[in-house]
Amino acid sequence: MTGSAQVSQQQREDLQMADVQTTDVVVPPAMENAGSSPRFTSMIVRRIAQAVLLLGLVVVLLVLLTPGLIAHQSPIATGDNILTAPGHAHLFGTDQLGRDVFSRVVYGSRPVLMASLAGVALATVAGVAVGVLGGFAHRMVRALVMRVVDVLLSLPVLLIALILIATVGSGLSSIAIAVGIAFTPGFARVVESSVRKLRSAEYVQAAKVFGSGGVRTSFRHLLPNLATEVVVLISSGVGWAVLTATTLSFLGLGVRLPAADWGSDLAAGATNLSTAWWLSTFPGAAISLTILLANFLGDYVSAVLDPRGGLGLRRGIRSFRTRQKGTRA
Amino acid sequence: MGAFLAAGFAASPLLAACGTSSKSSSSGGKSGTQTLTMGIASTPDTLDPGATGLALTLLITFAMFDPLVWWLPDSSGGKFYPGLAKSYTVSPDATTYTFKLRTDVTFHDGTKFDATAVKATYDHVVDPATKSKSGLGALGPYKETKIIDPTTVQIIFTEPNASFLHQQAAGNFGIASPAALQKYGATGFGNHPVGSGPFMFSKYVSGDRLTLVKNPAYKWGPEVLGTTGPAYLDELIFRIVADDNGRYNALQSGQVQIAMNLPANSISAASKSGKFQQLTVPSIGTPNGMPINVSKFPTDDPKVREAIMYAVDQEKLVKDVLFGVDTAAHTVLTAITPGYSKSSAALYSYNPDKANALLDEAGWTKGSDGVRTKSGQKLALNIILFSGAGFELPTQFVVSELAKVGFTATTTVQPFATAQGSFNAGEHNLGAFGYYGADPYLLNIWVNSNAIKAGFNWSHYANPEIDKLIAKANSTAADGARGALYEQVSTKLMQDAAYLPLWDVNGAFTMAKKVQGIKTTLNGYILFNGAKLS
Amino acid sequence: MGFVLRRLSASLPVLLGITVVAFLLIHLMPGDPAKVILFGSNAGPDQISALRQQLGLNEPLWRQYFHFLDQLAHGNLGTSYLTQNSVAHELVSRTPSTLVLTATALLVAIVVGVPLGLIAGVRPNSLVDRLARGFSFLGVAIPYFFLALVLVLLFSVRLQLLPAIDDGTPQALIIPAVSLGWGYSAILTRLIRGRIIEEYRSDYVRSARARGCPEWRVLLRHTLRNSSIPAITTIGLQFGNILTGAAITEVIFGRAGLGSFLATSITNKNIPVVQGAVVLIGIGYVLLNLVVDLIVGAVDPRTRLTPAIS
Repeated sequence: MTGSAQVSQQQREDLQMADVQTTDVVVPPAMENAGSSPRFTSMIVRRIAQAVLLLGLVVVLLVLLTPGLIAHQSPIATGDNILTAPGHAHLFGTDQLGRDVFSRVVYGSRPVLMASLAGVALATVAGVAVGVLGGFAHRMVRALVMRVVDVLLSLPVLLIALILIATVGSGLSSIAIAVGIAFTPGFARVVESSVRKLRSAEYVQAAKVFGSGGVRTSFRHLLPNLATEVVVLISSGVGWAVLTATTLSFLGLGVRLPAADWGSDLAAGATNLSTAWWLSTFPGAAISLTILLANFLGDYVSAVLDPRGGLGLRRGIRSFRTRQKGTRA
Repeated sequence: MGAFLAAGFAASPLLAACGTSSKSSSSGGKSGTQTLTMGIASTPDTLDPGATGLALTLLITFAMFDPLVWWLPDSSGGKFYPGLAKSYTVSPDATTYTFKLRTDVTFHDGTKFDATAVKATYDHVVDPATKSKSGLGALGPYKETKIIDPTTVQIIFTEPNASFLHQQAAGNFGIASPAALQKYGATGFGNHPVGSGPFMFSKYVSGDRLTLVKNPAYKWGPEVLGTTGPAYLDELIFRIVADDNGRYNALQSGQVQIAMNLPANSISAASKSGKFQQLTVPSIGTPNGMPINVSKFPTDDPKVREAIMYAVDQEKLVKDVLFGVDTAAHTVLTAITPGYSKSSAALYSYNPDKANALLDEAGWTKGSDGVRTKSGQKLALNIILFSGAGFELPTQFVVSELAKVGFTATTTVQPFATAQGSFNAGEHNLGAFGYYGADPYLLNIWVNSNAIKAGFNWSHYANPEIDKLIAKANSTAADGARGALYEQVSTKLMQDAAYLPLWDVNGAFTMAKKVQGIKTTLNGYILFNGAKLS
Repeated sequence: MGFVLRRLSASLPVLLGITVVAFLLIHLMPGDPAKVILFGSNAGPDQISALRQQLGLNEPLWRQYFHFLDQLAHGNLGTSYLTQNSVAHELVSRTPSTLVLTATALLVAIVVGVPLGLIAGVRPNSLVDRLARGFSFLGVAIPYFFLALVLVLLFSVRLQLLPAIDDGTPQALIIPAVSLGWGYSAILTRLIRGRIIEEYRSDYVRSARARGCPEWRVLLRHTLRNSSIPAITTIGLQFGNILTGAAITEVIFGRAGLGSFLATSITNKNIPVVQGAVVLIGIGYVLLNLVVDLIVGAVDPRTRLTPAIS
C-alpha cells in the first residue's frame, strides 16, 4: 500500500516494531534498570524476573504435556452438581453440565496454545519465504510480491477466519491457518526490509567484491543476522497470536465440542456472568495470564538480543542502520 | 409449509423480543405515548409475508397483516375465528375453499378491501418474481383464486389440499393491499408492506430496528385478542440484537421490554429475579432433535439407532440443561401439532440397560476404556451441528449420555449453509434439526425420499411407503382419517429410529412486568392487538 | 496535492488485488449461490440451473471478473441474497456506525495512551512510570470481549448508568469504545514511552536544552512530535485488527455496523455482501493509510522528500 512503499528508513524501523503487538522495545524492568540503578539491585531484579519467567514456562509445559497431572478430573465428564460455586470439591466451580471448571481451564490451554503457536510458526515460514523473495528479487517481482502482502494486510483476521471456516470447516487447524495468514504480511514486511538493508550493508557488499556469489552471501552473512530479527518477531508475536486465537474461538469457530477451550468456554459462560461468574472469569483470567507471560517473554528475548540490553547480537544491524539513516535523511 | 426452525439466514425462527423504547419509557419522555420495544435475534429477510422464508418475519408481519381466518387458542383448545372473511366453506374433496368477505375493511394506504385484494395476494405469492420461499411451499397445489363477486372468493387447488386452512392462518397469507402491490412491485413490496392490521409500517433501519405505528382505523380484530379496535400501543419497535447476552442485558437495563428467545439459563435467571414475566408459546411442527443418518455406518444398523433412542434422557436434558424452560420431546411432531401421535411418543422411554443390550446384540463389545468396538472398528459417531440454534449445550449432554452406553463422538459446529451441505452429503451420523409448520404435512419436507440430496431429509430416510402415506393423508379432508394416517407415519418413523427428538422449542418471550395483554396464536406467534404498558 | 495523487496511484494495484480477492470469494466459498438464494423454496434442479445461468456463473472466469469490475465501476455491488436489496445501499447505511465506533475507540486510545506514555517516558522508573508499564502490560493482556461483558454487567445491568445496547445516543458509545480502545491505549502508552526515553537521550534534545529551551517546549516541540510518528503508523497497521474488534463489539452491543454485518453475511453465504464489504474495507484501508502518510508527512516533513524505496 501507500505507506510501506514510501516511508523513510526511520519509519520503517518503527513499522517493524509496530507490526506486532509488543512494540517499541519496552524493556522489562530487569533489563531497563541495568543502566540507571545500582548494579546490585539490578542483579536481584533480573534474577527474580528470570525465575518468574522460568516458572511460568514450566507451568505452561506441564499443562501442555500432562494436564492430567494438574487437573484430576476429566474436562468433559458431566456430573449432577451443576453450577456449583468454587469450593473444595471443585476449585473453580462447575458449569451447566456439571463439569469441573478447573479441569476445563487446564485442558483448555492446549487448543489455544497449539493454535497460536502453530499460527506463528506458519507465519514465520511464510513470512520469511515471502520476505526473502521480496528482498532479493528483481524490482518488478518485489513490487508484485509486496503488493500482494499489502492486499493481505487489508483483510481483517476475522474475515480470513470466517472464510476459511466456511470453506474448510471449523476446527483448530482453521484457526491456526487464519492466525498464520493474518500474521504473514507483517512478518514478510519486516523480513523484506531487513534483507534489503542487510544486502546493502558494507560487509555484504565487501563479500561481493571479493567474489562470493549471491546464494553463498545470503547463507553466510544474511541468515544469521536475519535469524535474530526473526526470533524477536516470533517472541513478540505469540501474545498477539493468543489473543487472536481466543477471539476466534470466542466466536465459536475453533474447538470441537465438548473439548475444553478458553475462548468458547468464556463465550458459553457469558450469559451466566451475573449468576455464575466463575464460568467466564477463570478462562478469561487464563487468557490474560498467558498473554502477559508471552509478552513478558517476548520483551525479555528482545532485550537480550538488543544491543542496549544484553548480548549485543543486533549490534551489527544497529550500527548499520544508524549509518544508513544518516545518508538518507 | 412453514418456516425452517433454526434456519439459514437467521439463527432461530422465533426470535423476536419487544419492549418500550428507552426514550419514552425509561427517561419518561412524551407522556401518554405507549412505545413497546422488543429485542429480536436476527434480521428479517423481507417484510413481505408472502415472500419470506423466516418465521421471525411472520411474527412481525402478523402485526401488519390480517389473515382471512384466524386460528387462535381459547378455552376449548383452539379453533378458527373470522378474520377478513366472515365465514368459509370447504368442498368435500378439499380442493375448493370459499370465503365470504367483510365489507368494512380498509388497508393502511386507504384502499378498500374486497375480493380483488385476496386474488392479488395469492397471485403475488405464486408470481415467480416474488421469489416466495415458505409461502409458495405452504400453498401446495394452488390453481387459482376465483372472484365470484366482490365479497365472495374461491381458492382452488388442482389436487386435494387438506392442510390449507391451517396454512392460510399461519401468517404467509396475510392479505396485502392490491394498490401497494401494484405500486411497489413484487420485490419492492418487501420494503413497503401495506396490510390491514393493527400496526402500520413506519420505518426500517436495516439490521437495526423496525418501527411500526398504530393503525387508528382498525376495528376488525378477533374478539379473543382482548379488543377488536385499534391497538393501545402507539409504537411497536422491533430491535435487532443478535447476541443472546445483549438481549438479556437490554431487557435488564430497560432498553427493551420484551426479549425474545433468550437462552434457557437467562430465562431461568430472569424468572428467579422476580422482575420479569415469562410468556411461553408452545411450538408447532417438528421438535428440535437430531436426524439419525440411516445410510452411514454405524447408524445404518437399526439396533444402533434404537440404542441411541433409549440412551438419551430427554427429561433430564430439559430439567438440567434447559432449566425446565422447554418441554421434553418424544416424537416427530410437537404435542400441539395436528396429527400428533401419543402412541409414537411412548415407543421409547429412557432405558440405558436396554440400549446396552441392543448394542451387545448388534455385536458391539465394550472395551476397557468404555468404548464399544466391533471387528476393530470403534462405535464412533460423527455429529455435525449448525451454529446459532442453541444446539451446542444440549448436544454435549447427548454425547455424555451416549458415552455411558459405549459410544464415542466428535462434534463439529458449522455455519448453517455449510452444515446444510454436509447433511445433504451424508457426512454426519447425527445432525441438528427442528421445523416450524402448522400442519403435519410438514413431515413431507424432511422424510420424503426426494429431499435427501437437496432438501431437509437429513436422516437420509428413503421409504416409498411413507411417501405415499403422507400424500394420501394430505388429500384426505376428514380430520379423523387424516389424523389416523399421520399417526401411522409418525409411528413408523419412530420405529425406524430415524430421528432423536430432544426438546420442544417454545417461543420464549421474557417481558418486563408492565407489559400486558400480549396474546399468542396457536401456531407459535404473538399478537400485539391488545398489548399495553401499565 | 501531487503528493496525494502519487500516493493514490500507488495504491491502485492494491485496490485491484482486493477486487480479485473479492471476486474469487464467490468461487472459493463452497455451496452453489443459486441454491443459497433459493433456500427454503422447494426449488427443483431446473430452477437452480436457470438461476445459475441468470447469475452468469457458467461464463468463463475472466469474463465474470470483468463483468464484476464493470459493475463495480458503476457502483453496483449486486443485491443481497437475503433481502434482495441493493448491497451498496445496505453497506453504506451501516458504515457510519462502524466509523463512529472505531473513531471513538481510537480517541479513547489516544486520550489515555499519549499522556500516560508521555509522563512515564519523561520520568522513567517513577511511580507513574511503573503504573504506566503495568497498564501497558495488562491492557494488551485483558481480552476486549471479556472486558466488554464485565463493563456491561457493571454499568448497564447493575448500576443502570449506561445503555446496554446501542440506542443512538452518545452514552451508548462509552462502553463499546472503552473496551475496544483499551488495548490500543496500552499499545500507545508503550510506544510513546519507549520513544520519549530514546528521544531524551538524543543529541538534538540535549542541544536544545543546552540552548536554554524550556523543558515543556523540548517535550512538545521535539520529543512528542517525533514520538507520535510510530503511534500514527501503528494505527494504520492495526486497521484489520481494529475492524475485527469492531465486529465483535458490534455483535455484543447490538450495533448495526459493517463488522457484524460482514460476519453474519459470511456465515449465511450472502456472497454479494461479503464481496462488497471486502472492496469497501480495501478502500478504507488505502484511505486510512493515505491519511496516516499525510499526517506523518505534516508532522515530519522529511518523509515527504524521501524518494520511493520500491
